[in-house]
Amino acid sequence: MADDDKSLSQTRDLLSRLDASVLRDCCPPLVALDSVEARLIGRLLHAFIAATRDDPGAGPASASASSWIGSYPALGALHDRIWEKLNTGHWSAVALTWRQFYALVSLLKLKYLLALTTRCAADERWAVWPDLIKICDMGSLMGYPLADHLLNRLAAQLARMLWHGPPASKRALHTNFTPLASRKIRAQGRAQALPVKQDLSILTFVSQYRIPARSVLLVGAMADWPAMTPGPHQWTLAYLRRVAGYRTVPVELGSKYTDPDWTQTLMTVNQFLDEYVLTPKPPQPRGYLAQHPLLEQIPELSADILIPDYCYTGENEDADGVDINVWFGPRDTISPLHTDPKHNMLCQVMGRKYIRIYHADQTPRLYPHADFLLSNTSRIDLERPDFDSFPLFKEAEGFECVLEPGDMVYIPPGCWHFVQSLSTPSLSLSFWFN
Amino acid sequence: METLYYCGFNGFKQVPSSANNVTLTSLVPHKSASNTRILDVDICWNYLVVVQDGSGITKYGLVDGKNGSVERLTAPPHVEKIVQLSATPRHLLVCTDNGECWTHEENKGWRKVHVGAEPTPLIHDEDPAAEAINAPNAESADTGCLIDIKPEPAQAESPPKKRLSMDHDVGPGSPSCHVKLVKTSCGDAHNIGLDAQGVAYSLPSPLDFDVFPANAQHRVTDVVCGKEHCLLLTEHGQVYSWGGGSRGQLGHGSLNSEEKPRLITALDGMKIKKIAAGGWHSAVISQFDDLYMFGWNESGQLAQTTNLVRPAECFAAVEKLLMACCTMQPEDTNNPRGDSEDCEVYHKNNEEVQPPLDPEKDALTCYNAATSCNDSQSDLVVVQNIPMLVQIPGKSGEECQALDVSCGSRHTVVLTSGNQLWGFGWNKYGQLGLGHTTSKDAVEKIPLPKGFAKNSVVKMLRCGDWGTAVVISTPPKKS
Repeated sequence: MADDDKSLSQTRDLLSRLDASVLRDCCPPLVALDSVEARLIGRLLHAFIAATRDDPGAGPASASASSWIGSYPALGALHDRIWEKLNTGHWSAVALTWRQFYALVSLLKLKYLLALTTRCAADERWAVWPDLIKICDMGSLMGYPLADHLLNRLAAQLARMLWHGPPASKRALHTNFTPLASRKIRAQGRAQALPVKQDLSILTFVSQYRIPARSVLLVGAMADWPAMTPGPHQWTLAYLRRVAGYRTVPVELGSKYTDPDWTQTLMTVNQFLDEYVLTPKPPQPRGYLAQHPLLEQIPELSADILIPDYCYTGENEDADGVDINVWFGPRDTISPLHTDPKHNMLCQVMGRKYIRIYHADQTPRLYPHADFLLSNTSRIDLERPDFDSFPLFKEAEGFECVLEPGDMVYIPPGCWHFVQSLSTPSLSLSFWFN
Repeated sequence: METLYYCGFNGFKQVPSSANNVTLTSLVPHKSASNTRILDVDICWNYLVVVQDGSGITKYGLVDGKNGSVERLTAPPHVEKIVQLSATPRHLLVCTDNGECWTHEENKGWRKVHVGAEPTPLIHDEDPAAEAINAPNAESADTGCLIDIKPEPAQAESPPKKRLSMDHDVGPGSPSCHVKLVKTSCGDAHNIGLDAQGVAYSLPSPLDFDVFPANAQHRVTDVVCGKEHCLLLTEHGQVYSWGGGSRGQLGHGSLNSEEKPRLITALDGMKIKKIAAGGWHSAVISQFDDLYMFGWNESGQLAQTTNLVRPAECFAAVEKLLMACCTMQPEDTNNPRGDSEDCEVYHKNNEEVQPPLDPEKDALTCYNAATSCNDSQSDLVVVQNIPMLVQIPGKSGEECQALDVSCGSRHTVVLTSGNQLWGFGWNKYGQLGLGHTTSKDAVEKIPLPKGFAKNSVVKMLRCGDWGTAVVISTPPKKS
């Protein structure tokens, strides 16, 4: 019964962070809502908050047939409606209100379900926690970070509770896999080896690479990272499952983003590992957890890495201006030849990656797309270059290197790069800085 | 006799006689709106709206902040009869029998849309409220009424002076007096109209677009609106589209948006006779009764294979918990579940029809897995940016001929010869009328309601947001 008591008190603790006053503060006041539809939904959300009780022992207000508001299906209908509004018009043009509503409806769902579980046995309670984490993450990924990222903090708390919960909740999470190497490097066209340096001083980095905008491979530059050091924080599949397994992340499906059948979807890290990394089932599309700020979503992972000192050579004086993204997947994920607007230090944590580099002066030989959305992407398919259509590409001067764990490569802004993962799994972190 | 049937989302008691079922998974008779001729029906998220001969406009659902309302709207001043309407949660747009266009917003009442007018000069009116309506305001800047409209004093309170000023405005010499509007359609981003002369409007101004081939004479015969896109049909059967195109709903082979109507060249050469627009998808029917669709297929609303099992949106443990807790509240099971007769379905030729499931339980299931016949994941369609033929799997050639099509936010219903209905797409709220809440990415036959007799005819089909409405006409029995 000790487990039962513990999970019950943990649930009550979470509920106390979701009391009516917190939720009311999260809901924009009706007078501030400037559209008929926002006021319509806002009124319903206010009514819902008013209909829920704060005493966790009492459970949710019983949804009688006469008051549908207050029931879980009602929350579902509000959720579905807000989701449709989030998908109307370009994402960047969606009114902030709808993102606030999306986060709020997620908080309300969470509160409703947590209250329900106070009346359940401990094992039923634990069984629901992974779903609750999903609700938090969906709300956090698509919604506005209400109440200082409350949803994300609750997700982290639930994930910790789940990990330290009963053994039964740690479902058989396999981390066994046959290390798979790519059969071949796919990039065609000639290239010479990228310059390799070890223990490169900041001054030399700035004068010889940053200022002239030249790429360089820095080997063994991450030895001091806890993530790279044997110990409790070393990034292994088991560690990632423990810290991030139940968290929902965006995954790109398809060979590469220039393909017509390329899509994005959301799934948990565990699902991604099971279905797309460790035992992918062809003809299922390749999955790539790409360009996702995982360290922002799971701040405890930040303690395991060190931002390279090279990132502080420009305007950035602290970590705030450095965008850290994770790139994690099986072998043969491809990022087609493209440029990024910021300086990039791409750091290899697990597995290997092949990088092809063309400096910005080669742009006329690389035929960027005319379409604005793809203007940072080359029309040349490095895997099957069409020299007839793009004759100048023959003269393009390329560089190449293979990143091993602990290596980092500097990619200046506007510098063209193609990336192929050479192993299952492969995990890199990109540090974008000014 | 005409009967309105409805299936889909009923959370706001859009069908008052089935108030206890949040999800109506089979077509049920809407008893309050029957007996007199139904002129038009529209469905939006929070209400169902019906225009009938004699009784005018009635809204059912969440109206004026009140759940379960049945609100009969008084007609706009001097208006005899409303003949057509379109609805969004923020407003109604209507056409009258003499071609006027009016808009109705909650708390604001009716206002006349002066169609065809150039950017409107203000009426010289001392009423500060009128000033506020005419002045650019937050409402029109955001998602409120996007039409440039003039205020209409309520009939009862209108002093003679104001009446005169309005009469003058629509009198001889005013461009609006020639325009007879016959159709309106509205979405989240557009209000469009069509007049008796075949001129289309982005209300209140005539729609400006380049016809193809240049200088050709085109009467527009229909206009329809999705959430962020629009389609228009010309007398020659050409289809033009414009607005948001991020889900391929414009059919131009890209995901780009278009500011002005642009001919869908993939359909050119084929005479189109019917157009429809859903939330983010489009449907057209050719002169050969073939159905073509394009746009977003996220729930199978194009009848193309898609992945309906979205891991991130499936909460199996939550559903189990809710089921378990439902049984913990025995008092809930005693609640009346509405007229069970309503849910019975008409069995045509003894065909196997799935029995209606418990709608309360169904409301809890999230994305049910679709039974997809195609196992290969590489053929999944999420976005279809050029029109694609949809085969109706009818038993006879007649059953395969599409006569009418209508689209909700994420579902589609087709009417074929022989009064047969077919549906596909999102079905969480039972909007496909299949007796369950499983979304379908292939064409499914919709059972006709029990009241459908041998000589009955499906007179009208209207989908909107999460619901489907069908008007069935049955001649009186001979004594």
